[in-house]
Amino acid sequence: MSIDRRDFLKFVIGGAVGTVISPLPWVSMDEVARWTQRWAPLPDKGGAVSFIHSTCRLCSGGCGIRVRLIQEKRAVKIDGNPDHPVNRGGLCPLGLAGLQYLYLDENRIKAPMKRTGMRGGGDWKPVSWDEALSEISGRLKEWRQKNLSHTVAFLNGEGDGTQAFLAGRFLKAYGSPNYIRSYHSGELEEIVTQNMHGLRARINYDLPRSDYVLSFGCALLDGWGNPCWTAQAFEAWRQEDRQDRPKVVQIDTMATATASLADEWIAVKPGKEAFLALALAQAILENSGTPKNVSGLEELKAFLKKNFPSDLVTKETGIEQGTILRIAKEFSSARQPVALWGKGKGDLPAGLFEAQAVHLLNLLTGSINRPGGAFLQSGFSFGSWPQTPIDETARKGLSQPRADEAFSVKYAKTGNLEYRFFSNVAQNKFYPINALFLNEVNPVFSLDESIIRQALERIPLVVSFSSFMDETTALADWVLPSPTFLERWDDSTQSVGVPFPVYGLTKPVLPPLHDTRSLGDILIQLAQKIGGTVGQALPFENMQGAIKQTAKGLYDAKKGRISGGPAAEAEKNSSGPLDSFDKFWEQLIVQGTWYGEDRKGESGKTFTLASMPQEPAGLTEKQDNTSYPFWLIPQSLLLLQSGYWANPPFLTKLLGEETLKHKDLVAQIHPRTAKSLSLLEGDRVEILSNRGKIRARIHLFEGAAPDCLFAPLGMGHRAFDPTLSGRGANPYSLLDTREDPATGLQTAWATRVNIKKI
Amino acid sequence: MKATTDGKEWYGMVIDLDKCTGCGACSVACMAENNLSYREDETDKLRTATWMKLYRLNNGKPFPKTRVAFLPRPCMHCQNTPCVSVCPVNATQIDEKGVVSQIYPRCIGCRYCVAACPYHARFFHWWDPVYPKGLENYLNPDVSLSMRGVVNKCTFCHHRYQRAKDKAFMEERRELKDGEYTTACVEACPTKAITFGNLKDPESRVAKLSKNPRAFRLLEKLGTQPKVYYLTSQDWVRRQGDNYLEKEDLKKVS
Amino acid sequence: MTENILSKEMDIIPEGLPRCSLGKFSLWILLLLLVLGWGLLAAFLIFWKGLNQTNMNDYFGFALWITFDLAVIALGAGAFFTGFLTYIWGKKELKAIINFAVMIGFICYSGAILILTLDIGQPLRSWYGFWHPNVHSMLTEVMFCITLYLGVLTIEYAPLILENRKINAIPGAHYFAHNLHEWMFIFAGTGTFLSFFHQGSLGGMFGVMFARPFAFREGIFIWPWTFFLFIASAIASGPAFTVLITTLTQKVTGRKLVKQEVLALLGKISGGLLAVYLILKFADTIYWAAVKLPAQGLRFLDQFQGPYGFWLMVAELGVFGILPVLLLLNKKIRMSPGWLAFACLLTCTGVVFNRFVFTVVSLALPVLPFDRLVTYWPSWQEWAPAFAVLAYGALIISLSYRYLPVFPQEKELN
Ligand SMILES: Nc1nc2c(c(=O)[nH]1)N[C@H]1C(S)=C(S)[C@@H](COP(=O)(O)OP(=O)(O)OC[C@H]3O[C@@H](n4cnc5c(=O)[nH]c(N)nc54)[C@H](O)[C@@H]3O)O[C@H]1N2
Ligand SMILES: Nc1nc2c(c(=O)[nH]1)N[C@H]1C(S)=C(S)[C@@H](COP(=O)(O)OP(=O)(O)OC[C@H]3O[C@@H](n4cnc5c(=O)[nH]c(N)nc54)[C@H](O)[C@@H]3O)O[C@H]1N2
Ligand code: SF4
Ligand code: SF4
Ligand code: SF4
Ligand code: SF4
Ligand code: SF4
Ligand SMILES: [Mo]
Repeated sequence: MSIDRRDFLKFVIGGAVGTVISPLPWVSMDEVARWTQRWAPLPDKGGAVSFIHSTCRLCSGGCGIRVRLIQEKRAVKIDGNPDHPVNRGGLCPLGLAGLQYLYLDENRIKAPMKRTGMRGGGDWKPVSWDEALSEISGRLKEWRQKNLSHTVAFLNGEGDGTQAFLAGRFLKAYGSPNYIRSYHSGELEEIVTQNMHGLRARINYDLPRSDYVLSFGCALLDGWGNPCWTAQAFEAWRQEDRQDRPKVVQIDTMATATASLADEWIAVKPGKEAFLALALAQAILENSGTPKNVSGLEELKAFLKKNFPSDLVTKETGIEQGTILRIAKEFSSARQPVALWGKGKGDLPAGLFEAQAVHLLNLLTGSINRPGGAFLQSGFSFGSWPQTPIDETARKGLSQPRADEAFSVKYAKTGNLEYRFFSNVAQNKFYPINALFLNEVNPVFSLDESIIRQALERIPLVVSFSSFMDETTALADWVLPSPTFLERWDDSTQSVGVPFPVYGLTKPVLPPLHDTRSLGDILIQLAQKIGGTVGQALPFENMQGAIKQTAKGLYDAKKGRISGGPAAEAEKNSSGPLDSFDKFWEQLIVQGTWYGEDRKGESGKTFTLASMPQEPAGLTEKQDNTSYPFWLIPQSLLLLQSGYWANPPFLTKLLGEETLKHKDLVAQIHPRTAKSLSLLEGDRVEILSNRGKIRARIHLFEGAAPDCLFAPLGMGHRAFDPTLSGRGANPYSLLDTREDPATGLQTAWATRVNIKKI
Repeated sequence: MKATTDGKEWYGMVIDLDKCTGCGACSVACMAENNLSYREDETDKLRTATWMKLYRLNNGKPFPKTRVAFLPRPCMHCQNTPCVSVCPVNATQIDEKGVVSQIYPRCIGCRYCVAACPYHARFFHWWDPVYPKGLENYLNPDVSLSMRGVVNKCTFCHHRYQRAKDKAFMEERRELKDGEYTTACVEACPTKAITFGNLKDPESRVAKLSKNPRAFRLLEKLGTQPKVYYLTSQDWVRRQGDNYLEKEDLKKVS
Repeated sequence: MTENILSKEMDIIPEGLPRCSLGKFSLWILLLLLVLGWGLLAAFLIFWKGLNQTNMNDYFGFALWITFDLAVIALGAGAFFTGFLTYIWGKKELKAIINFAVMIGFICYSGAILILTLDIGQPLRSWYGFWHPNVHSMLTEVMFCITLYLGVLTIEYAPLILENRKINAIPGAHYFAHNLHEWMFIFAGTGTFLSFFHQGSLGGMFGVMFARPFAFREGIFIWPWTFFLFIASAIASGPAFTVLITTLTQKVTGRKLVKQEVLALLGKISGGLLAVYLILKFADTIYWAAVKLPAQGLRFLDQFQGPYGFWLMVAELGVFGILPVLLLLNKKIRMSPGWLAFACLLTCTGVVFNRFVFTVVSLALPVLPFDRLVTYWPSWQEWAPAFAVLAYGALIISLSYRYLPVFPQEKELN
């Protein structure tokens, strides 16, 4: 067939006209537009909506949460439980991002695994739970038979709750003294109260009712203590119609959120908080009335005058005497003042000297166990539990010294020494450790990595219960993955830092996504397999049963109330709806929270000079100022998790350019200091300390103390999803941690560094 | 474009900067509620979509007088919207309740509205939204997702209005109670710094707070008439709420 | 074989007009095609991966491409304005250049539309502008006017194509072309009307952004002053651009194409209009600086920050404003081809600066007092399509010049 030009023209014109008048172009335009509307995934439409109350377990805050579910199988949102006495419907950003821990598939460990290649080589094979638990329980039995029960150690990052209680109880019945909690602020609190009050207690601050808050570097608004409790306090302090007009004074080295939003910020030289506190104590002793019930004050006065004269204090702290006198006057004449210690989030140990110096201010102003002050309270009572049954083997094992030297002659008052545990094992100090169980800890990230690795090399069996392949879990032999707090039975026995009892029940809001078992369930199953007194110590079918046992204690106390319900007091006489434990339990499951309302403190022995600590020599020994002319100050940020919990993507997304820029960590520095180093905004530097070096960019900030470098903690992971892995650097690796001889704890704060432009 | 303001409902927000600690809970809650996605690297702050953006204000004074303050910034839901009238395809509108909406399937992505909004409350979707494996499970079925190439913004959690209305209807009420329609950021704020409600109901908390002497609005001189009010007792913070000539006095709320 | 092709090619070239060798021409076209290919690669990436390929962001929602579009549309105003002068005002001597002016206009407008298609996030929805138009939006007006006007330009350009030796041989084409010529004043009128509106609306787009103090202007009824200023600057620079490109073509081809008197006339018109524009622009700027800005708590000098400093204003209104006016209003200079081209170059640069300032500086300046100045540099994916459009223009001019009788005076002048 031949087509001439005329035919061709006809065809083209005819075709064009035909196409335009046909529906084809219009339909296809429409279809194309519809197609563009499907470029985004469509959320799985609808279904019945329900809300389930539970308790957040991402920190020890114990906040009440309300999870929004679609068709009871898809969790789409975590909100705060409005009836919860601490968070009152609000939540901290971490809790709000909780679903990312649950659902982000890439980070979850999906089934029990056994290492196949080298330690840390990343080669794993999935195993069945039966196989894993049989093998581990077999080894545990073997050691017990050989009277080596004490060579089994358990390091737990989770402190409160029945699960941690079970872990402690398991080890006790099994016969090991080596149940070690990783550092938590309570550790030091118990030593402080023992020294100054003669009783071991937690210090819980009644912050919302305080009218003068003197904070020694505590990142009150960046995760110190319990974020939702400090938030409640902050709201209370800023109530427009409040009569007593509370004043917040922040002693800090940088214009942090807390320093800026405080009523006054006093810039102190790094690490000199204790001097300031003692100067204030001295001024109060000299100018204000002395409290009752405290002996030895005259000696204290003389001691302070001799050892901390005002010119020395001004020189050390950089703060004028006038300011010190004014603050002392304001503090002592406030009605309900309180002084707080624990720099940053309070998750790195402070020196005992500093903690006691600050706490002394509470003692001198009568703020102990007073509304708005510091309440000395013992922890949750597991009174409803019978004594742990102990057999001969266990008795022998428990009589062995602890591998971390806690409560030893040398560290008589310290309950847990995580770092010392690792360094002792690394040096083969007492006896070989045969097994280490790890729960919610990531010491490879937050402690001296080389020591941890050396220690782990000497331990033949390392088991991690982590839900995620964090840096420490990567070095384990077995991983027995936990379900997240949204998939398991668990509880929070105390909302940390809150001066009244709060119990939060955590329950599975949806079935486990993966083949996981909670630590509690695993411990119960291991105990049954081991049998004997160990089995008797944990006589439950599962974790739910153990929690019910704990909750029984709440019911029996006939105090407090279930959130959203009436007070138990009112119930007691009438045969109200909670007249049986079963009904109480049912209600607790529905509402999620039980709490008592009265703040009660335990009174202790009076203060005596004998317990006044001396400034420990080891801590202030001259650091090398010429090779390392600057201070590195680690920064705590609420939007950057720095402990076991790796930052969830939503929080990382919110980090400002003063924290992270592309793959670089950002450290803040005063413009003048930057200039002295010929550094410009955004320049890359190497930060060197005697421990190591990291790279960062710098951000100039007028509010940063000169000659200091402020580096946020929490980035620099090797593990986790791409929002974290390989991004930023880890300032923990620079921190010059030194042992506080008074406690054995590794204190770490300001560290001498050098800065080099690269 | 001036909105019609005849209705009984006129929603607005008050954010008390004296109570805001900059914690970011409001931002996270907003992302979780409204199905916002995230990318591996979100450090280019000029291309990251956080409908509730936290600004860090700085008083500009030398150490140790430096202070920062936090200012969470949702869409102002301006009464006199600079953004709505410019849209060539009516993809963004202000409704009779004063909510400035964004219709993803209609937006052509010209970004004229982005240029017109002085508050940077509008975000262009530069990439295809990605929900890493597993995260598709937490998507809120009430909120549609924005695709690549269109603009998205704070909606005052408009889907919650419908939920509240449905509930009221079931209880045979025609009007909503104060606080019944509330936004995710308000609920989340642990210091209760944010209040949301009907500005036209004189009894509502938001209406009362908006008349507080501490109240001001951002860039009032431009005449956008934001429906988001801020409270502060600090002059330096308030001064950063608008552009002032050196000797000019602080403008009181109008 | 080769000879065959060469002689066939000779057949299409207008009679009596010597053109360079096919080899040389092909080499030149190849170069242009390379640039076009680069642009197409960028366009492909942008359509495939999205606008993340650019360096635009939520602050610079408008950037290089909008600047480019505004500039080429302003410079393309030579088409409608010359049409207006020729067919409506009755400046018959401009017939010598109207073909070329229309062609430049066609290139500018079609190029702008191509770039706009890249620039919107959802190009597949671009027709929504006609389907769900918001009549209050200046952008709607722009979209309607420029698409319609491109249609008009096509119609104005069509007769020229039909005048190609080969095509003109087809009887239908010949008559069609002839008839179109007869009715051209209608299209010129329509074009003038449409152009006035969209040139104005482009300025209006910025002037109506009342929350952007740098751009915002009041005005008459719904039209802000920028509406009128954009019209004035477009009609002043459009003819200058025509002169510039004509001179450039003469330089490249080495042939005299248009009488210098014609170019000088356009230059004179351009200079006069530019003077009027500058008076308006100064009045506007002074009012803005002295009244509008202070009312919003802003200082004039704070409007120039970082790289977008006060030098921009000096350049735009002085070097590329007052100076070309002085040059263009001087008859001696106008009659010197080199000087005239130079003055026109200054004028055109001035309008590019103006469009740049409105697009980029408006958005770079922080409005919130706690925000900061942001700066921006385009990515190669943004540059490439812009250069490709320039290459596309050169391609059309080259092909048209070679195969169409673009310049009626060419024979007479050589
Ligand atoms: N999931 C999770 N949990 C955490 C943390 C975390 O990051 N994640 N952080 C930890 C940190 S840093 C802190 S400060 C704490 C604060 O949380 P708190 O709840 O204030 O810590 P404790 O007071 O030590 O709580 C533990 C309580 O458990 C009981 N208990 C534990 N073991 C035994 C035992 O063997 N016998 C008996 N009778 N009772 C026992 C004690 O009554 C003790 O008071 O929370 C810790 N818990
Ligand atoms: N968003 C949000 N953030 C919070 C909280 C919150 O509620 N919400 N809670 C805050 C509270 S109260 C706390 S206590 C923290 C705890 O929260 P995390 O920091 O998650 O708790 P851990 O993982 O126990 O962190 C303590 C780390 O210190 C290491 N460590 C143990 N002993 C030593 C030692 O002797 N020296 C040094 N240098 N390091 C040691 C341990 O390896 C451990 O990894 O989280 C705080 N952060
Ligand atoms: S404060 Fe702790 S318990 Fe409360 S929501 Fe945040 S992470 Fe969860
Ligand atoms: S804040 Fe911006 S996006 Fe929101 S209504 Fe106002 S102009 Fe529009
Ligand atoms: S980007 Fe979308 S909403 Fe904004 S003006 Fe353009 S079409 Fe309208
Ligand atoms: S109102 Fe809703 S959409 Fe707007 S910022 Fe708050 S949570 Fe986000
Ligand atoms: S949640 Fe509340 S306190 Fe936190 S940043 Fe938002 S407004 Fe401020
Ligand atoms: Mo803690």
